[in-house]
Amino acid sequence: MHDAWGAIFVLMLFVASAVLFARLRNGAGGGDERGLPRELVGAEVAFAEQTFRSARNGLIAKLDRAYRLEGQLKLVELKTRLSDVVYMVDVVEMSVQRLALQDQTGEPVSMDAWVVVQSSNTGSRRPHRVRLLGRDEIDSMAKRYRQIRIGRISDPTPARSNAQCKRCSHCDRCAATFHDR
Amino acid sequence: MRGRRDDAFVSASELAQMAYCERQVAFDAAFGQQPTPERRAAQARGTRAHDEFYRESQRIARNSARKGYCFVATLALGECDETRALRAFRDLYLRRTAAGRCFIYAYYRLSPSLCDWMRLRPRLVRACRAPLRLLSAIATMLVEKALGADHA
Repeated sequence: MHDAWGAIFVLMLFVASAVLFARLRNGAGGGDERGLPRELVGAEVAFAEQTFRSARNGLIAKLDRAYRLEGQLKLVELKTRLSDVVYMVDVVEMSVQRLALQDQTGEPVSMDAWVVVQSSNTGSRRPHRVRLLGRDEIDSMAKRYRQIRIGRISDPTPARSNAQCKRCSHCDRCAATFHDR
Repeated sequence: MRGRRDDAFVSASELAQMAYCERQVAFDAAFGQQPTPERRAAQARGTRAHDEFYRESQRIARNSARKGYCFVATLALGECDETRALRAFRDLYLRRTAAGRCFIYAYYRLSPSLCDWMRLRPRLVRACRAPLRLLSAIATMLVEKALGADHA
């Protein structure tokens, strides 16, 4: 009989631990703050869905949300995905947001930011901390972008995987031009 | 629709495309963007999620403003450098520890009632000003110390 109670106790402990673990992984916030990292729960939202420009670098960005925390602004970007992953695309996008926000408002913006990935199946959210790129890296990327747009670069880098190519509408054109896809 | 002034600017999403595939950037420039049905469906899902996220942002911002007003310091001193120093202290020190976050949570739960109670007692509000200014001066010193350490 004691063994049965012991087993029930262990099972309940396991379930409680699993719930606690899931809650911690999913961020501490509930309701409107669901999926947010603990450090941002209860913090002040400074900007939401606003567009900012960096005249210095010729960049424009619309950010999802920026918090004012510890004397600086912290960016949060929402992504809806099938899988819970963060890509380099997110880091570049938020790095541009950082420069635009910093240049237009004059307020310091943290190099650390958060990507909140919302599952397109379940709607649950998970926060991921990312380290943003600096001004020089973004500036050289923007220069290369402009060069590619006007056809000055003859060997633009392809996507890393062929799986990405299958989802691209230029796939046939790319294969015919570069013969490596 | 982007205006003429924005045409010279590179957008965050355009530049982010570089991390995905530079060839797509080149083909988009030459032939225009041709999103696949999959991509269009994903964009629609993203737009819906962002609308919800924006509504949440607005509610959080409104709650932040309400919480700010509920501070006893705001009631006693008004919106001024002292109250801003106390908020910075909250973010720099209290929010960084579990105990501090518990205190903030409890304080935000209690402060509206406390403020309502104090509002009917102007003498008490006036009496609170001097100790609050002292606390604020200490908070200012600690905040400056922390910011100095962060930027060192």
